[in-house]
Amino acid sequence: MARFAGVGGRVLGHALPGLLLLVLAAGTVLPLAALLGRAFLDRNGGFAGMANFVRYATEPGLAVAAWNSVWLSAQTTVITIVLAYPYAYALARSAMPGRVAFRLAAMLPLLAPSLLPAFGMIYLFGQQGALRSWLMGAELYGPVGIVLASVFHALPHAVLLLAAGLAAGDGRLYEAAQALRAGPWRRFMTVTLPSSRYALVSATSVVFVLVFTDFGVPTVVGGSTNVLATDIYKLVIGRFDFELGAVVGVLLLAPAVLAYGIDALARRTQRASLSGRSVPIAAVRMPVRDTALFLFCAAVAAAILGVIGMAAWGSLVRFWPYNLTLGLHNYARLLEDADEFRAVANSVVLAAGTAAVGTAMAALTGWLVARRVGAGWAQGAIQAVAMLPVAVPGLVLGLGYVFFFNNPANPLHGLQGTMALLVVCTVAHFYTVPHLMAVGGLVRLDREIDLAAQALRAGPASVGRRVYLPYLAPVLVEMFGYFFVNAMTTVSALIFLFNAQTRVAAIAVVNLVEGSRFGQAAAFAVVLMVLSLVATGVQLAVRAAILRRQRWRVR
Amino acid sequence: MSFKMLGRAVALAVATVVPLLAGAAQAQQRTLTVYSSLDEDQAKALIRGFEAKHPQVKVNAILGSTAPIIARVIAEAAAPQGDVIMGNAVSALMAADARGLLLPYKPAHFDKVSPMMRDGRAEPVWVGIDAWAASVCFNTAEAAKKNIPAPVTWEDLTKPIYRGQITMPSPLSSGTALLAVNGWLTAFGEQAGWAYMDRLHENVARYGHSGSAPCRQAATGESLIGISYAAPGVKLINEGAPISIILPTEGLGWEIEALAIIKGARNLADAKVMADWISSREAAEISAKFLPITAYDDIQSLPKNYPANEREKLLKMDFGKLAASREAVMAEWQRRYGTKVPPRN
Repeated sequence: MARFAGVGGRVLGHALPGLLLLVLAAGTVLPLAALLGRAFLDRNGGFAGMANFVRYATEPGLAVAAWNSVWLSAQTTVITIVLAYPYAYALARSAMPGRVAFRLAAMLPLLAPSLLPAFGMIYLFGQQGALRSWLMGAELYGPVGIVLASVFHALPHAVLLLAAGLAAGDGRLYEAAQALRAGPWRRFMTVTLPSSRYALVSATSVVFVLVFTDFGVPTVVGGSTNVLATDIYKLVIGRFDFELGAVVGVLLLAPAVLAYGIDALARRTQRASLSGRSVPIAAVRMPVRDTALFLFCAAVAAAILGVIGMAAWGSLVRFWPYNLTLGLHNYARLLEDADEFRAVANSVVLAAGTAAVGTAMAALTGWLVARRVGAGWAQGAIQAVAMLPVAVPGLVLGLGYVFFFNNPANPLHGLQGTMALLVVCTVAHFYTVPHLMAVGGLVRLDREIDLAAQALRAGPASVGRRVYLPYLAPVLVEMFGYFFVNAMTTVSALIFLFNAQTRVAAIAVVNLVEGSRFGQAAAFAVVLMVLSLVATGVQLAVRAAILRRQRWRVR
Repeated sequence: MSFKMLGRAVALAVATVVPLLAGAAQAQQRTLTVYSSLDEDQAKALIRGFEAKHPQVKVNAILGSTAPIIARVIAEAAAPQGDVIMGNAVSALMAADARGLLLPYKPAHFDKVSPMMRDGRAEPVWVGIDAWAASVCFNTAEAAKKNIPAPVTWEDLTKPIYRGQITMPSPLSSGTALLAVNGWLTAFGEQAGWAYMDRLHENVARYGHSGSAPCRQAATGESLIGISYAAPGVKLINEGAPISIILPTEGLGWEIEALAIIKGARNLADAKVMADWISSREAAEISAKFLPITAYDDIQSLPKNYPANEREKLLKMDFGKLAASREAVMAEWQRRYGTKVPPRN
């Protein structure tokens, strides 16, 4: 446990973890408990014990859905990590050209409302798809579609986590390895891979949990393939059976619990690889490696761009696939409705608010966990709560928020119907990845630095300002961007919370789809993506500027 | 990046969020919060009509799909946020009614509304706005390419020529599918109805989650035939989709979209004003621009590209009995078709 000098240090060590835990709990655990607690209640609110679980267990088709969930999530996870690791490595460690552009390309699936990749996949691989033959006779709607779309959806999360973990390393280890005449492959296996183990573990578990709990992809391209996550949708939305829906919600938490255990183990065994004597890694030019990585990244980026580009092209044609006349008519029709303008403004407010609040919170919780500040139980609890949201489908979170905040007995009841509640909900929904990015960044700083600060009687504010913030700055910018772009496109939780004043653009897109106005829906989604793209461009520029100013990162 | 900058970022965020909160707090004197699952254009036209008639009331509309709106009403029961549900499937409204969340109210023009379009109970909870029926969306362009004839009857859909060409929603997640299924059980009878679905199952390529999606899939050539309803098909034809909307001759399962007041509405007086207005002929005439079947039998209308004779093909359905058998029908469907993958062509 890190100790800090002075009164400030003692306050920080005890009060801050408690306070953060309280805020996090109000944003995640309590609303979830308000919904998931129904798993143990009957419809009238009486205690039902395990009766709902028994009732769910007897539903036909459950075993098939459970197997599909596990097997498809596992396949997706393996493919995603295999693609994301070299991609992130190339971004963080190589000297290949176009690294900024590649970073942007990897973020694209996050920037686009999920409608766009769904359209893109269908335009490419559906019955009328240009590349249908690539599936070699298999049908898109089913397991193939689920895995393809899930990899697409999960890739940016994995790349971000891995790149954050690979960003910093100790150059001395590489010098030593080189002196011992270890070849590049051996250096990778004995130095790089072990030092990025924590990032690898967290990326793997995040991807698995993300895919396991997502019902957006299977409902669009899953065909008749049932997975556990779509059961929630069927039970809550099809049958208004909140009790059975809650049972599925509880079951979906299982992989998250497992992931938490693995994560805790990985954090304990991750050796700090950056000490006070560390030497920053210089991106060495290795022409063969860099060319190979460049080609690999180009292939992945081309696939991402192909899917998104196809959908963007679809927003410009009259009626795909029968009338491919190009034009801006879909965009022109958007301009006719003043409600849509307000929705875009609301989205920007929501995204900026979410990014500001979320980044500050996640930086603090990441620091507490990575630097072991405060009581051990508090650190464990914070980590557990922070790992929770990724395992919770937005639908469950949104309904939980209604049950929890729309209760007159709740002192926070006043938040119901406000933009502030939408901000809180969105911060909670996307908390896991930025928190892990902060942990992944900070866990690798040697504890010597805390000890040195202690010896110098530096207060926590001073250490924070002089050491952690500058060190973490590039990661903070990425966390901010992650919250921002996710808030621009999120729908599933907010659909239960928005009102006429706080309706955001992503919900407007869903309304357009429900009204069978695909062209306009696609056009609106493209507008949102462009806004996010601009925001990400700013983010990358800021990140590059920080890296340039921080001379200590390069020799 | 420093604490100062972080502080500034937080201050900026607070500065942007707070005015919005204040704006929500000092909202106008008389507002009415309306939940609606009607077609967006129709809902907006009705709201414009209502506000023109009652300019002292400002309507705040929350539009969304049938089921999420009802799920939201159920979740908000502790402190209802909405005042009135202006247009949601009666079968879904019944789920809220069964939980005691709707307020019985007999609107001013209730007795003038067509008897089939109003709640028959002594204390009526809902009054109908419009009705819609199960229909088939058929892609004429793909059919011409493959030289496949258009189906005319439900029975036609079981012919081998349509094998693997049909998509439909699953009644476990879609009200549209449930009314199609209930239509078959009504038209053919219990036993023959399930036997029909067994044969149909052989031809179905996949079961989805949304009621309008099969029509969209037919419109974009992702399938040849989508079992859906007419409204999305009409919109898609207007956009340029090469589909025709077929109303099979054996008759159509159908459903009413109705208004109901939420129990505990904060603006109850104006909710009743809205209910009174919706039951008026004036409101029905607005809806008739979008759908042929409205609350008044004698209003004749056929919106552009809408299939003719929908009203004549509606089956005589016992809604009370169907509501009671809802769970059983879903369970039987799941047992027969939910656990096995439909055969490929």
